[in-house]
Amino acid sequence: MLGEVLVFFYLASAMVISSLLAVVSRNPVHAILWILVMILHQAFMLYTLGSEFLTAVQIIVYAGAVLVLFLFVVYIINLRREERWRIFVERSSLGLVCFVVFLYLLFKNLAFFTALSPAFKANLPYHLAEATNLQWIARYLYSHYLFQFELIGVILLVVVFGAVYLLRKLKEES
Amino acid sequence: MEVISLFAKEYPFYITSAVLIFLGIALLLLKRNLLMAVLALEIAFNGINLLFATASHYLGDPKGKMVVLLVLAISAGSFAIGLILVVNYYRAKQSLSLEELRLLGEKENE
Repeated sequence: MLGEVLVFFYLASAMVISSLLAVVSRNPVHAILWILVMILHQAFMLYTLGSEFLTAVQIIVYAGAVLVLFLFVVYIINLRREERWRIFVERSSLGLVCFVVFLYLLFKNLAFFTALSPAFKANLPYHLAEATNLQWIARYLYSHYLFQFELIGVILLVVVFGAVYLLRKLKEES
Repeated sequence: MEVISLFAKEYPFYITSAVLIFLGIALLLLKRNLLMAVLALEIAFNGINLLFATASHYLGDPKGKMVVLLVLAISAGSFAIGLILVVNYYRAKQSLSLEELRLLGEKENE
């Protein structure tokens, strides 16, 4: 039990600190590498939640595809000029009020989740232990959620067309 | 409201994902660089994924993990389009400052 708690607190603190460092750091390449650290820790946290397939997908899609895309964009544009911060909202008391309200909503909804959990588990129409995690995902993805699955394919096709269209227009201008 | 122990089984996961989502949105509002704002949005997406996975695991319902898969696919596509727009904006304006991003609001270039 203590080991689980220690592993969880290591993962959570590493995620929060590395994502803070990512957006605070001036160098964009360093920021992307800190995001990589955050994504690897989150992948391991998904593994502790019992979903090993999502771990693999997280590493492949985010660390392998999206971050490489970010790195290419950073290398295409050079960010020489340093962007200075300017204070967004002048009053800090307003920020404090927003923070307290969000904190209240967070703990209220946590209590709601725990109240929900036993009743929800009692009413499930199936036993979770009868198949592995990957089998559950496949069962839902290809039977109940087939329309959404096809919709994802259409969305990715539209993304490809949009990317080609935007880059073609860019090439004609320059 | 009852006193909530931080060491109960699923609270730390919910709190971590909430912290990530709030951090992402706050940095999205605070940053003055367009590329860093997109990175902050990615932090918020990761928090949402973690929230779905936690709820799916502790409520015992495998639909949440499938939602995480769909969110991953859609966010990869949206980041691709968003980064292309960032590159186009940089080619047009030669900077990524969000202070100058007022083309839709004011007519000051006429």
